[in-house]
Amino acid sequence: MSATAIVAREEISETWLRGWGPWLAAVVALTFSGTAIALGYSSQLNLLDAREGLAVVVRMSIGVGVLLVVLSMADSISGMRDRSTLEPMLLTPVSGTSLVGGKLAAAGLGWLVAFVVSLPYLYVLGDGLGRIAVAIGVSAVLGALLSITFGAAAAFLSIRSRTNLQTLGLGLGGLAFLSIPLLLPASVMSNPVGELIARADPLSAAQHIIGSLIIDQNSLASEISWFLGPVVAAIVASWLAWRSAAFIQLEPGS
Amino acid sequence: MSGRLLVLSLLVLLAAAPAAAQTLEVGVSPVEIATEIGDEHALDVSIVNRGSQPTGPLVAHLVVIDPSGGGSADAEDWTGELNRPLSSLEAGESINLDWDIKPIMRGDFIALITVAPADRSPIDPASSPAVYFAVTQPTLLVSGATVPVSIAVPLIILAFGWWLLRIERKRVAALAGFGSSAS
Repeated sequence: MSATAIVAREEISETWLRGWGPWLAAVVALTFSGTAIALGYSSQLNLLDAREGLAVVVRMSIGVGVLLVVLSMADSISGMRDRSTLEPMLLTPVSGTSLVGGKLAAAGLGWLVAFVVSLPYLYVLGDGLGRIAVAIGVSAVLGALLSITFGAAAAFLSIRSRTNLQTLGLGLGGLAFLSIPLLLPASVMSNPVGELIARADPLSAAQHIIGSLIIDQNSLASEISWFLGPVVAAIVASWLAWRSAAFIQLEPGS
Repeated sequence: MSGRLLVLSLLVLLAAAPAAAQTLEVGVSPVEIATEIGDEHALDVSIVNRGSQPTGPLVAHLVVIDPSGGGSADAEDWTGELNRPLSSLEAGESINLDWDIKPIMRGDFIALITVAPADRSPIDPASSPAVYFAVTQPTLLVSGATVPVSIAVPLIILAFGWWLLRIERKRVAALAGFGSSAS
């Protein structure tokens, strides 16, 4: 078994077999349950239609999954520094890239669990709409891309930060910063500069893809160019994390 | 008597005379739509300049009316394009527009396309015939399985978590027992 797989197995056991993982999954499921019931009753009041409800569950699944990955990866290296467990780990033959790769794979399970938990809700909310397969596909592809992007970015910050608090602050701050375009009015985002920002920002691009494919029922071919931003972001963030992981230090900058 | 007959004849002639022809003529198709909330329909709108002069720039606007007055029908929620700027139409020229419209509320509604000059040119605004929407609630909006699934999924995960916790406790107890017997 490779060092990466050993690290991933240990992290997964720690979180999902001996830790808080299953309880967190239950909380996520309860959140989906509350949302599904609320959406149903809201729809009865004609406030939302069914496709928008389906899109809400997809957004929640991706959002919760990405948040779990970011929280896990933010803690990955700087958390070990805080707990003084990084030094013994660096003395083992496990390379930095194997360490970060294994932790990233284990953190990715957080998104995978959120995705799997969302499937029954997607099925019942999308019953008869003909968009269930699209919703599952969009959730899987975008969730994986955004988890890689933000997980790798959080790993990069964690490697470079002196404390876990610094990593968490920067990571959550970065997420909040990238969410700003989502709060801008549609009229601002529909001009060429706004569209360029939306395409470059992986969160905005994901929001556009979900709305276009699930709610507006556009074809995948017409929206395929919107995947470019999230794919490029995932590649760049992975490359940064990979480069940094090769030179993990006890004290960054030392 | 002859004076009364003259006045009466004039009134009859005035009533029978055709109204002044309107420069803009707006048509729409279809004019009756039975649909469900959230389903999108394209209105085929035609605008013709029946006058002898160019119209100047125009603007077309979607109006949604709730004839019952019971709820608010905000046309902005029904379409992504509330206003459509149009270039000037030459005499006799016409233009066709596809106007996507998506009802978001249950009930009976009237939609109109109104066209008006965008500048101050002396052309009367014109409206299309009314499009009558009969909007119903989709029967599949809330699946009957929503509530059972919403209860069952968290319970299954909690049961799984509890099962894992028991296995872990047994494993730790076995390890502790092994350690105490060895010592």
